[in-house]
Amino acid sequence: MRVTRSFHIESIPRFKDAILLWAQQFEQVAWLDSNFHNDRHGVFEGILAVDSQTSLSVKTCKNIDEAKDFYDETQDWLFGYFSYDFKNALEKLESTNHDGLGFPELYFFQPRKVIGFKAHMVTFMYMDSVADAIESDFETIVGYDVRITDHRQQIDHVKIKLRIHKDEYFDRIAQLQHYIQRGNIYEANFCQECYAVDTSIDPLSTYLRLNSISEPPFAVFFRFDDKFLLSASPERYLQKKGDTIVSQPIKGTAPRSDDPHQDNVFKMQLQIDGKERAENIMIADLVRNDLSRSALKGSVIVEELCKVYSFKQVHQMISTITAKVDPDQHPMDIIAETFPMGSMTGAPKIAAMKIIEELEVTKRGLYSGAVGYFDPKGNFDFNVVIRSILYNATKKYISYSVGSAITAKSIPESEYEECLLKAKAMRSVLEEG
Amino acid sequence: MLEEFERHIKTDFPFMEDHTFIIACSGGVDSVVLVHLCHQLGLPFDLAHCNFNLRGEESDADQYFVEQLAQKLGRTCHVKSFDTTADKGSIQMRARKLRYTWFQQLIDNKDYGYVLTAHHADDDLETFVINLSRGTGIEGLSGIPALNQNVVRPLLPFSREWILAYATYHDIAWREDSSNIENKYLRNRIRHEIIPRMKLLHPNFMANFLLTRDFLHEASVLQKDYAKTLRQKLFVNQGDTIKIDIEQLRALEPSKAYLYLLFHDFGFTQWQDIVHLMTGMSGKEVHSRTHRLLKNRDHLLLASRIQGTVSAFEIHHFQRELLHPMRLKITEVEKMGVASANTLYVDKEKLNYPLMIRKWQKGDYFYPLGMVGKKKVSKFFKDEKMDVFSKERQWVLCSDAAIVWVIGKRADDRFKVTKATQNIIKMTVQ
Repeated sequence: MRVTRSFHIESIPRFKDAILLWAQQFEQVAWLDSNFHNDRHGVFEGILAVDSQTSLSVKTCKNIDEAKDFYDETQDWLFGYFSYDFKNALEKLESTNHDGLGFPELYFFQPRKVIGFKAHMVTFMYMDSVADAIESDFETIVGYDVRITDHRQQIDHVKIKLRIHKDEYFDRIAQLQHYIQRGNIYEANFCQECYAVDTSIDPLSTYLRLNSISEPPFAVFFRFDDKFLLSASPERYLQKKGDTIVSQPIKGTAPRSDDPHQDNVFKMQLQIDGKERAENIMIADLVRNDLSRSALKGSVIVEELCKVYSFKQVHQMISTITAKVDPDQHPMDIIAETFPMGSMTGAPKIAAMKIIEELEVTKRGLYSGAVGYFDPKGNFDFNVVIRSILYNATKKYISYSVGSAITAKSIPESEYEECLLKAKAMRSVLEEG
Repeated sequence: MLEEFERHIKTDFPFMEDHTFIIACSGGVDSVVLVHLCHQLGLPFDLAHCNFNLRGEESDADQYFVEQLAQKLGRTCHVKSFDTTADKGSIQMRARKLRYTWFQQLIDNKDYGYVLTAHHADDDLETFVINLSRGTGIEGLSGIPALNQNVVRPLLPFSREWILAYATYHDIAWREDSSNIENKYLRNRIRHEIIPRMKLLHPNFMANFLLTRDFLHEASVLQKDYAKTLRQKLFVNQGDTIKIDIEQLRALEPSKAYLYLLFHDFGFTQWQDIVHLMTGMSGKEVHSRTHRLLKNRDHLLLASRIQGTVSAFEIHHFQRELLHPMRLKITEVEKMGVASANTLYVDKEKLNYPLMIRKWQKGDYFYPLGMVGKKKVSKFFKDEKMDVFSKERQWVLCSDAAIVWVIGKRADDRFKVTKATQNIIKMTVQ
């Protein structure tokens, strides 16, 4: 049972800084921020969950039952993630590649304190046991009254290394395209890891810098114990609101330019680029297929196909697919039917995942998984974990991965360029401190 | 009658003669009698009155009455007016909070020792019945504490009848219906409809209730002793964690009572979750404010929440409150108040922000306040006769490498407030 109270707030940017600072005292923190992107699917513009009451951490996922049991027992707000490797609980697959991060494959916590805001209204949703703290917490947060201006310098100088070198990258893309020519798959998302060892960072300031660079619609600061996810994701994986589910896969990226004319040219080029459109449509089709597995008959609709959205750093092509589901269906099952998101695997999905496992060298872990929340009514909202920095403070290991979709038409050099473009924000945040 | 009160004060609160205190006075018979009693005994005190403006002119008349009373007795009267009209829903809770926050401020800023409230035996009985109706454990039934941090309640052994008799006998005037806006509705029903009937059950009902309350209090002490013994039996110490065999734990019936007994001291309250934890899979955890309980095959592991790299918490200069690893209030005050185990006063200029709260480590030393020279923290623990558990749970507040406070135990001499101090920081553990 939760007690809900709402307050009016004047300055949202101020409040966001204050609440994020206030949250730092907790060992479990989930902060999801839409950065004022006008999202008609969004329930809150931002939501914070802290002060864990119970949690579930699964090192190696064998089946979905553990997650389901945890959901059934709590029937409450749950914040956490499914790593990409959660796929092994759903299909006959394995993940044996190198893992420097050591994150569990699945992690969720049930927070005592949930705070969401929309427009100038902030809503506290506290468990009964801490409900008497609502007012004092609100006063404390408002009392911080600071804008974070001095993002602290990095503790250590960060030296980024690549898990595979350029030549090896081209070699592996060639193998991948060989599989495509043989007809095993027609598209696969190939990713590579950038990492730093023996390096400590200040997670909050790193997150703030990353977020300020791209101000994406699905920013996340997630912490549990000594593990951190600092995410500037532009992509929604799957949302359920009432009986409607929505997925918004992204395929197709173009750079932005300071020159408005050139910027527009990039945008138009992306809009008509045959290869990018083909990639996007393949994935939209795959998602349509995924959703139809749990959807009510005839309810899968492609609301938007290959629509170009402009973000601070890049233009992206996004499709929106919706469907209606049976309200009695277990929310975990809806996720299981569609996981992992097609935009991060390829098509056909299972064959693509096997080839990814073979050709990539890093265990994907949380990267390309999904982070988000369930609410007590069985609604949920999850983002794709991309454009994200992962950090294990105990191991002093920092990691971010980038990838791109490879088709028969892909030119390895331009795919490599695309990866560099996607990595730019993370790299500059870490290296420039 | 006055003698009884004097004896009670002398035995239980001898410190009341030493330091000026405040009496929370609503104008109602209870608090007015308390004021008169203290005045008769020549104790050093002033009055404090909260005007919540809930009853219009009546509220102002209450305030006037208390001010007149103070003037007559030659005491200072602090008055605070609150606007509680904005939020009708939670007036009772807010009023209570506002009241105590203001008293605390008065104590801090005006150098009072503590605040007296006029809770009496009937209030205790009403609370007992309220808690009973809401569902509670032994703690909820063992009475309002007579002494709780800065709050002293010297009228608890006396019944409302006794107080009324005293007031009538000494011809003391008071204001009707002004006290107790907390739970007013529920309390009034219990006071007027239920308690008179209960009192008909036995000629010595009130005295017997007080006896019962004391028994319950003692039973809860006993329970705590038993918990200690049981923990020694079930808890296996393994470095940073405590290992508990699930099979042994599950054999204990009634299970929730045992879970309460064993884990309540570690801050746990969610018994159903712990029951799930015992039957669930490995990897699941239940968190209290201070501890985590996790399932690992056929054992539960109990660990402090702060381990590994996350063993330190920063306090920034703008921070007024810390929740983990303990609840700490941080305020800037104008004057020193009474320092205690849980209240620290330090010289702000001597601190170097961000401060750090961490577990004590081997080799830590500090300069205990009121002692010459430095002392190893471990030696300090030994002299304090602290057991292994308390040592493990001990936190220290640091400024750079120096220990400012062995929290809840002893302050450091180097950071104390002196004549030269410009700004004083007060920290209170709650």
